[in-house]
Amino acid sequence: MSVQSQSADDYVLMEAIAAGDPAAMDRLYKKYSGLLLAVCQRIVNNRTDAEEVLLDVFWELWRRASRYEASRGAPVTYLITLARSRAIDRKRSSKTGSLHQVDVGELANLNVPANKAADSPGQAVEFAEQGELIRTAMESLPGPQRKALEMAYFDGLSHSEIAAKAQLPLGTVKSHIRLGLIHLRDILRKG
Amino acid sequence: MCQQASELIPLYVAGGLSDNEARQLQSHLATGCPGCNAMLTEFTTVGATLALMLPPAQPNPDVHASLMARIERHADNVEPRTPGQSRRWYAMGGLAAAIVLAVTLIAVSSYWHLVITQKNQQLVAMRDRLDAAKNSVNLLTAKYQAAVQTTALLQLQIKQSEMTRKMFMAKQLQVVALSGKPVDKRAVGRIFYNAKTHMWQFCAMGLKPLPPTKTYELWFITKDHTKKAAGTFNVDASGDGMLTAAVGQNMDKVSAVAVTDEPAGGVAVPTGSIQLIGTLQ
Repeated sequence: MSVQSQSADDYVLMEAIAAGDPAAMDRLYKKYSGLLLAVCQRIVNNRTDAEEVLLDVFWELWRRASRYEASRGAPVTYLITLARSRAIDRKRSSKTGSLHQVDVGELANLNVPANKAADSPGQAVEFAEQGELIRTAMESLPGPQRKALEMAYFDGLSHSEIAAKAQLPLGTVKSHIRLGLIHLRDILRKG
Repeated sequence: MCQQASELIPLYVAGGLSDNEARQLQSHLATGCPGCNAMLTEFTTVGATLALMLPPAQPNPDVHASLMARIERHADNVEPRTPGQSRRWYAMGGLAAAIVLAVTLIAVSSYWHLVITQKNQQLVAMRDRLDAAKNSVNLLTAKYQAAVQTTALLQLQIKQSEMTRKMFMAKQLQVVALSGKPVDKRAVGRIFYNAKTHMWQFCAMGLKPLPPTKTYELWFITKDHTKKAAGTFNVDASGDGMLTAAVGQNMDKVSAVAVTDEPAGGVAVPTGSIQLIGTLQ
């Protein structure tokens, strides 16, 4: 798993954060804030809201780091899942959240070179390699499965909303998402 | 359930389950099923991996500053895992254990109290039955003793009747008639004497029943006016009484027979009034 290849430092940082170490929080923020902001911004489509969600995610992490369980996956998995969940919540509660309301000026910030968004050059390379891996995996999926996964994970749409947008039965949408994830899992296992 | 869960987990990770389906799956996962929990972890990771497709963004430095400032202001607003959380969980665990122990002790105490109460009730009932049995035994013993006395009395009466029969059948039977006149003309007496066996039997009829402090006594009066006590007797409600005895004295030397009323137990010398008297021919 690509996200599992993140350094063991992450587990140490989580422990330190749970113990109330601000320095550990500072390091973890610098390492993953760019990734998490990308997730939040992709979903809420609003820079200001995305940064507010980002702040909320790290603040929640600071307050409830003890809830993280290593058995549930790597720290980055936990952070991404938390960020996606909070972004979806913000999108659904926001009146302005919409796939088409993206500010052009904000779009420029979306294409930040990886080496400026990561903690270190090595980290940037690692992110790029993993990103290419998953991108290749996604491109190998059948079109309907890839599209359903993108709408569910990047647009923050519910399955019912996907079914309505794609004009497909709800069961079909669920089947695409399920099979798509299984396909990705099998590819990443080999990679 | 694992087969069903394995189909639901990918959708659960992607947020595609209904509330009911999600609850059912969560219940199954909460049982600690290792396979399903491992599958959940794997698919969660797969979903998170999709984020790596996105080009990283650069947050405004103000976000970092705001975060660190907030952390500094609320340094204590943290849910530490150890040691405070451990203490809290230990305290909660200790409290829960104490509650469970208390409830258990109360339940056990109540149970044994009920058992003891029931046993005491059974013991009281057994004692009551034992007392009743003792009373029954005492009653039966009394009835037995009464029956023994009655049997003895009947046997005596049978013996006396047999003696009387023999006496009446004897050829040497002599009869002495006693009269109650002038005291009570209704009273009569008879002496049946067997000269061969020297047995005699006295029968009285019509005598007045005496109080418990008195009794009738039979006297043999010799020709020289010596009065010899021959025994005491009492009469029933109809005034009938009987006395049987063996006398060493030959009736030939007896000139008269009398009955007097004397103090209970009899006397050596007649003191009462003559109730019956008869002379020998």
